[in-house]
Order: sequence, then C-alpha cells, then structure tokens
Amino acid sequence: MSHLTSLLLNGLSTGAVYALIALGLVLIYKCSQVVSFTHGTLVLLGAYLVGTMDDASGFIVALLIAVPVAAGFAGSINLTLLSRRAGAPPVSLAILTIGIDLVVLSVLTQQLGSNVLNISHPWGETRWDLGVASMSANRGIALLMVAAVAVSLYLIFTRSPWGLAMRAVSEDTEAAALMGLSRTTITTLSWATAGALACIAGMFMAGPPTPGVTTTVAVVALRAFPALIIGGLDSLRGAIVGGLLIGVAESLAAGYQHELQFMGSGFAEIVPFLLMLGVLVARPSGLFGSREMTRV
Amino acid sequence: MLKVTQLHVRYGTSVTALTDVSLGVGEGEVVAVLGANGAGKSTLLRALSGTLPHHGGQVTRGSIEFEGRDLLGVSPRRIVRAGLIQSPEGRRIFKGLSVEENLRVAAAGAGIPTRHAATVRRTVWDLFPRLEQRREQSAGLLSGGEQQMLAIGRALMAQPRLLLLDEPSLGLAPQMVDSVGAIIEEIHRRGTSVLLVEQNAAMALAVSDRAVVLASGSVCATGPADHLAASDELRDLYLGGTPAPTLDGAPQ
Repeated sequence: MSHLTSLLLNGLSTGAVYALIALGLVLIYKCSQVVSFTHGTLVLLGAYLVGTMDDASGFIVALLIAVPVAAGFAGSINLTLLSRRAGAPPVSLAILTIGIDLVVLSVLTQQLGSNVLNISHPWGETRWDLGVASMSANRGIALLMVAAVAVSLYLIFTRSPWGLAMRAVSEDTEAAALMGLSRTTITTLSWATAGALACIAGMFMAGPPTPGVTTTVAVVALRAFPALIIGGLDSLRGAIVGGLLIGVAESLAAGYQHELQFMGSGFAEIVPFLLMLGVLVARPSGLFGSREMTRV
Repeated sequence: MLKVTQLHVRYGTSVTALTDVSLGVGEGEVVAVLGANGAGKSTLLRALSGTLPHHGGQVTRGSIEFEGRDLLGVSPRRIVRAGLIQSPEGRRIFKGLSVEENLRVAAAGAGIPTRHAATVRRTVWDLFPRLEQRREQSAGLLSGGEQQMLAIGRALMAQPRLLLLDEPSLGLAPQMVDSVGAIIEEIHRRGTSVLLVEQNAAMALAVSDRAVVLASGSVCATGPADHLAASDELRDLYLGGTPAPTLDGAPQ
C-alpha cells in the first residue's frame, strides 16, 4: 500500500513540473493558436541560466535574474519573429518555432558539452516524510508552485485588465483590435509568461531526484506535449490535470516495472504517449479542450 | 470632424472595393451610409478603423482625416485612442466574457484609467438598464437585441467622439430595430457624432441628418436624409432598379 501511495505522490510531484510547462504552452496557444515547439528548449535554457549563475551569485539571485531573462527571451522570439508574420497560418508559425528550437538547442548543447551543471537548490537533497510516504523536497515545492501559479493565473484572467484582454484577443482578434487591444502586445506577454514558467520548471527539473542540467532536460520537457494534448490545447485546467496524469502514469509504470516486464524495459518512458493516443481516440480535443466546430 | 477624400481601397492585387469615395461627418452630426450587400460599406469602415490589413486590403489612394489628424497607416489602437471607435457588424461581442467584463476590457483597450472606467460604465448602465441587470451573465447567453446593446455599450466605453456603427439592426426583430434607432438618437443627444452603416434605409434615414449612398464601391447619391427619404432616385439606386410596372389594363 505504501508503495502505491509513494508512487502516486511522486508521480503527482513529477507531473507538477510537466503541468508548469504545459500551462505556458496553453497560454501561447490560446492567444495565438500556435503550438510552440521551442518550449522544451526554453525549459533547458531556464535551467542553464540558473545553473550558470548560482555558483557566483547564490541560488535566489540567480533565479531572480534567470526568470526575467527567460521571459524576455521568449517574449522577444514572439516580437521579432512570430508577430511579424501576422496572418500567416498557425501551422507555418509552429514550424518556425521548430527552427528556432534547433538553433537555441544547438547553442545550449555546445555550451553544456558533456558536463553536468549542478544547481545548488537551498532545499538540497532533503526529503519530506509525509508518514505514509516520502518525497523529495524539490518536487514537493514544485507541486506547491503549481498550485500557486494556478491560483495566480485564475486571478489574472478574471480580475486584471491584461487577463481580460488576453481572453478577448483569443476569442476574436479583429473585434479586440477594434476595441484598441493590440494582439502583438498580448501575444508577447503570453510568450513572456510562458518563458518564465518554463524557467521555473527547468529549475525544478534539474534538481533531485534527477541529476543536474544536461540536454536531457529538453527531451524530458517534451513530455509536456502529451500532457497538453490530454488536457486540451486551450484549457489551463486541462494543462494541470494532463500534467499530473502524465506524471502519475509514468511513476506507476516505473514502479511496477517488474510486473510489466513483458512490455520490455523502458516501458515507463512511452506511457505518456500511449495515454495521449488513448485520449486522442476517445476525445480528440482533449479532456477539457473546446471542441473544434466547423460550419458546413 | 471626419473627412474622407477620394478614397480608393483594394483587396489583394486586383479586387477594387472602393473607388473615389469622399464623405464627411461634421461635429454633432449623424450620417448614414446606405447601400446593398457588397457596395463597400464595411470596407469603408475597415479603412476608417485601420483593420484593412486583417483582410488583406489596403488604401491605394486618397486620405482619411479625423479632427485634423491623418489616419492612414495608423494602428487600430491609436485610432481608438484618438476618439474614433467602431461597433462591428454581427456585434462580435466577447461571448466567453461576462457582460461587465466586456465593458471592462473595452475600457482597458481604450486606455481609460480604471477609476474613471467605473464612471463611464455607469453611463452605459444608464443607457442600457437591461445590461446592468445581467452584468454577471456570460455575454453569449444574451438575446440578439441585448448583444447589440452590449456591442454599442462596449464601444461607448472608449468615450468616442465619433462612433461608427456597422449594421446595428441586422438580424433583429422589428421592435428591436426601432429601439436601436432610439438608442442612436440618445447617443447623439449626449454629444457623440455617429456614422451609421445600414441596409435598413428607413430606420437609418429616420435618425440621420445626412446620408451617403454607395453602389459598387462609389458614392452614387448624397444629401440631407429627409430629402433622400422622399426621393424615387434612392429607391431606384439602392433597392435595385425601378419598381415593377403596375399591371394597368391587364385582364383581372
């Protein structure tokens, strides 16, 4: 029993990191209908920034610098490359993000080489003992972080003028323009927010129980895509649920590896994608996504 | 206050939508733009609001001046802030937002400071008490007439000096069409000039001072509204040719 509880708890906490990444992807998609394939690399970039600075300036200062830098970088991708292609089909823009991803990833790979960059989190290797099970403090804090981000996003979307503007632009860009709302400003802000979330996710991802910053971070971050698709491309709630589901599924598959031996080793890694396929067959627009409607 | 001179608009490389259109709206005036489907009415409003690029269109010649400022090539955002706002055809309210959120987001778009926005919202509630009763409701759940009121109220949040209304009576019950007319008169009485684009000529001519008739992208008639209302010429031009000949002498 405690084995199962421990697996569930660790799954949720891993899922929290995927949820942070997926939330950023949903924000971008809602405003610009573009799926950003640069996101895995933005997560790596965030982790890299924190990792390179924290030796010299300490973890907190490094994080305080890295988050705005990552946000600015993501925002400027939109401002300089994507928003200038206004009117281009979202698919072309998504392909453009693949190109950006290749460039940024090569630069980061070259910088990192085969080294492992360690982030010295103030909570270190601490584990929280929750009675029935224990989890690494790093992942526990990530879980709390997701809760905090979810609450702040909810408040932003319902209370702040920027949140309302974002909803208006995502619903009807032209009508929003007629009301004086600038699409470029709104999409750039959503990219910047997504960049900040990616940086925070990268910082958690490169901490215990996983080793430090390596290029694997970008690959692991790609598991946010199944989370995104399971939840529904345009649903913030879906991103959180999807992320947590993926984390739990992965953790269960890894935990019961012996029982699943007949599927071969490394089965846990493909579980997120199997789950995604299952959801796509049953509900093509995801668990919480709005259905595509086409007038015939 | 608004002066459009010899405006030419083209979509893509070959479709000409407006040819040599000139018209003006004076301070405190209500001007109607009439015309059948495809006459270029919506294109004219897109040119005024700066949203032609959303449709692949561009102004190739002519000028648009608003209170002495050149509006060509100016972003929709700046145009709204200069005091010219449009309530688009088909209402296009934000259905996922509540009634009040629609008004709040419009105030934000026009750069109205939050504290002042509450005062402006009060004037909109005064004009449309029905909307205030439904302020918390999702805008998508309003009736057609209420959605039109919200679309107009949303535009008024910018405190415009000139309000452009694109087909406000489209798809409404006849009774609602009359109240849209009354609303336009009230907005005008409160000091906002109005450029009204309509297919419903009877309502439009009843509330406007002057009217411009467009056909195939050019101005084909212009004059005082009461004069045009009485003319056969308008009926010929705009309702599509002369009325069917009467069947005098035909066997009963």
